[in-house]
Amino acid sequence: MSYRSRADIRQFDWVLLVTVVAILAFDLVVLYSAGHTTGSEANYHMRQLAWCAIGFGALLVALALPARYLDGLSIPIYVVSLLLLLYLMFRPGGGAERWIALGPLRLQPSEASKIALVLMLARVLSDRGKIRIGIRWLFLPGIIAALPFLLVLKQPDLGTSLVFGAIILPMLYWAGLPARLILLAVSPVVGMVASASLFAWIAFLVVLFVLLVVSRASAFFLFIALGINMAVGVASPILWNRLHDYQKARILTFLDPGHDPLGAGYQIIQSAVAVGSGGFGGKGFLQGTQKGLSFLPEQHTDFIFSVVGEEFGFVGCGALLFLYAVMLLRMLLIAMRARNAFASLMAIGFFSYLGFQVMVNVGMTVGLVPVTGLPLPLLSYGGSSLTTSLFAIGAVLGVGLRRSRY
Amino acid sequence: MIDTLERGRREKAITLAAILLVGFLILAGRLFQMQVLVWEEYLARADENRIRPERLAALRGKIYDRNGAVLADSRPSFSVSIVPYQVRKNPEVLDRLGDLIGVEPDRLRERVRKGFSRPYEPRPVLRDVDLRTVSIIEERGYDLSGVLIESEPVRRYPEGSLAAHVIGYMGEVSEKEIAASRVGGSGLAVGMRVGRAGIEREYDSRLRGKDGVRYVQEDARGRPLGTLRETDPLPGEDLYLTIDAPLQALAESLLADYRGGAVVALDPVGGDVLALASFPTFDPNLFSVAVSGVVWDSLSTDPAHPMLDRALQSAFPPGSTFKPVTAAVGLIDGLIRPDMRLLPCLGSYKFGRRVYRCWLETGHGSLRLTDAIARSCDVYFYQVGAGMDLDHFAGVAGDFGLGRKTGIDLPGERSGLVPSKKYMNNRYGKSGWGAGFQLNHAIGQGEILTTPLQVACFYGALGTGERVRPRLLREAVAPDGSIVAGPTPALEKVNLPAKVLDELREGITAVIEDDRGTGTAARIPGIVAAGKTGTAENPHGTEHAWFVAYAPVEAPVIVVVVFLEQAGHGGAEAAPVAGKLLRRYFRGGGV
Repeated sequence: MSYRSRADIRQFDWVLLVTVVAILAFDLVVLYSAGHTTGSEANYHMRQLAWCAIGFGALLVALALPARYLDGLSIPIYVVSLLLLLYLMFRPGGGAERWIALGPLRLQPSEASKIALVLMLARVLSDRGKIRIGIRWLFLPGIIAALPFLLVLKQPDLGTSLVFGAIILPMLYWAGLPARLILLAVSPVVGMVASASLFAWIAFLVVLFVLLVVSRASAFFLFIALGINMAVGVASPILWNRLHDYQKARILTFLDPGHDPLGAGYQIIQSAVAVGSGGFGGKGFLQGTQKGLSFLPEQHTDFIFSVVGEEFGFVGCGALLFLYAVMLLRMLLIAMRARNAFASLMAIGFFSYLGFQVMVNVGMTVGLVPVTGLPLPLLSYGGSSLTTSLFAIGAVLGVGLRRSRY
Repeated sequence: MIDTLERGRREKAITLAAILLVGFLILAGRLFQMQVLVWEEYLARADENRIRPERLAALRGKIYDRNGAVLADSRPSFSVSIVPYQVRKNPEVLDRLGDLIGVEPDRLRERVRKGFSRPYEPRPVLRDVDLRTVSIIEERGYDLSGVLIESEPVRRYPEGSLAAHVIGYMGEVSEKEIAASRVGGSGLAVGMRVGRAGIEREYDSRLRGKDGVRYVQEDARGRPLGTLRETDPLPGEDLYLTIDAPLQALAESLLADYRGGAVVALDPVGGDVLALASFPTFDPNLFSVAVSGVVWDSLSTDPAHPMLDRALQSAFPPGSTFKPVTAAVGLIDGLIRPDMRLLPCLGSYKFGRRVYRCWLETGHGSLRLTDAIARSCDVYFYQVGAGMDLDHFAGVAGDFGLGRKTGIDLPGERSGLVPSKKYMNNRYGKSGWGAGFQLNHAIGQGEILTTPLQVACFYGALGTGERVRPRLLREAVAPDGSIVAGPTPALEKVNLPAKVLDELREGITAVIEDDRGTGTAARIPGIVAAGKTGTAENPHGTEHAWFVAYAPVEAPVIVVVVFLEQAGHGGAEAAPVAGKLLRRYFRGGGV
């Protein structure tokens, strides 16, 4: 480690910070509205404001810590996060609880484990700055991602498990893993979903073949990749039967929400109705009827975007997506410019984590993605998610601040 | 040390940025589609979601008799309803509800299933529940989402079965009727009860009024949050009938001694129906709350047909009450003259190769018209029938309103039958029938069928010279106090020479007033009445007894028809009943 870490205030990414503050300001407005339902006056916005203070504390800590400290802390943080997940699994009473109650606070260890995974992977992939592509090289990152993945999947929390997958793949790609290998890793997962329908599965195989050819895969590689996918396609019906009923229901409901309009499809339909009925300009602040009458499930947490859609319409949604795009692209820019391998990989990890959650959460609200129970970063009510997101952004801001000094 | 990382970093960043932007563009496209292209669809569903129209049942108009006695009114009641849409979300609500109200959850489920076509409309599952059940359900409201207590008036008939066939009864509206009403805009709703028979049906739209509606804002669990808009219900009109309740009650009590029958009492000038009784009868209160299958089955399969209004929904051979028609045809066509004696009655009459019997086996001897009517000699009328033209016969009967509906304001009236030549040709073939058939027609047998109400109108026309359209509605009083008169009597002159009518009247007066007449049992002290007995052959058993009378002869104010199923001779059975009614009527000084 030969880098120095001196901050240069002129390097600071004000655009990223202002974008984040703008999103948070919008968040408080939306949460005020979400809490403002007929018959109840939950003051989510005030509590979220308190969390913002804590979150900005985390942001400042992450900003202040030079990358080498984060690099050094990555192993302890990773271990502690695994222990917390284990505690959730084996604590007395057990069950599908994702929280740890700490006084009045309820903490979600799975949120913290996203940070831990990014730091740990960045450390492993940037070790000695040398990256060699090979089975042994993939083994360690694979284990590092698999441990929290399995623990969270066991909770069970399919959505968060998928975030781990969404973190590791771009980081591997960033570290130099050829795209065709990423394809090899991702394709069985996609193939598993596609295997639900013969037509979709065949279409998937065709697309995979084309992508592999484009990414200059050898004939041997191509043969292996298609072979693995064939095997997965055959095996997935067996795996399907091992899924939890509620997971099956979520996937089935995603495929056809109308099939159970009052059961599992309820959230999807209600949120789609809320978003769609907002129209171009929205119904206006506090005027959302779906929200106002509590037709929306989880309207202040996972489905917060549907309140945005209903009250602020296409204009509000577009503006919000624009802010997120600016935020994420600034993070990507920082990652690209960072000259330190760990810092750059960490920025890519946080970029992936936040970007994936934004896309999945909004996709779920508009009925494009199954309901996975992922919060919308910076917008969903909840301290763990907000603190984690702001910590990640702080860390990336820190990378930008010190990029030329590494 | 960073060379591996540095290599192609820009390309990688562009790839990741491209993936991100493609994802965001897909989301933006989806949002554009939902919020800009088809947002109205979503808006419609959003509105449906949050506002539930609640029906405010209009108070149904009351039904009174002509003197203001209440025949039908409404009392408040509560019913338990379910909103299928909400209950389908948590089906266990039905189990809890079933326990509370003592109904099989499977029956409730069936009700929900049927309600799926209109999932947002509350559907009554139990009507007229007591206040204890109401309070239990309201207390448990927190875990009975989708279950409502609705207040709705229930029809009440304080006099029980009195005039049941006239008043009718209520029944739940069917899906088909709702669908039809949505087109016509008469506003029927699920669970509503409408008139199913009698006045309740005939004047349903007047009685019903206009339901109000309250738009209740609700959250997804069906908890009401407030009222958005409300239109008050408009009560229905009160109907004052022509029925005279005490006379009606007497008629029904007199009928109760027989297997079955009908009584009609009619004002032949104004057309007012004073009494319209049919026996056996039923209690319309049974239908006010959802009628149970057992009750319905026992009423609808009862061989005595208690639901049938024998006064106008059933037609019988009129027997000798028809003879004035035959006499009129004979007089007009010159077959007989008033003072002419026909061949003597020896108890039977031989025509062709067949012997036609007179009801009096000992015979009446040789009679003139008045006596022939008074003593109801069949042989006399056989001789007229043998020579008459059947179409002329049917035409005269038609003048008296026979063989066609009277036009009374009640549903389901039968038109009866007076055969024409065409009818006989169709039925028996051109050569399949002859003058012998007309002998039977001449004494009111054979194919001829009349309802008791028709016979009343027929004799009313005989007495006044004008045919009247009977009516049951005297006036309707709207909620604002304005009065609408009932149907007009629509008087129509009988198309017969006055001299003929006079001859007929002389004959039918003698029926009652001549000591040898067949209807002396119907005499009214101090008032001269006219009438006619009838005994209708019944292939299934004892004859049906008829008697019809009007009084006073010079200016009739009332016609009474008594029809008794399988009771025997009209003079012996029906005339005394009519006599009691007439005497009561005139002792009371009319209506």
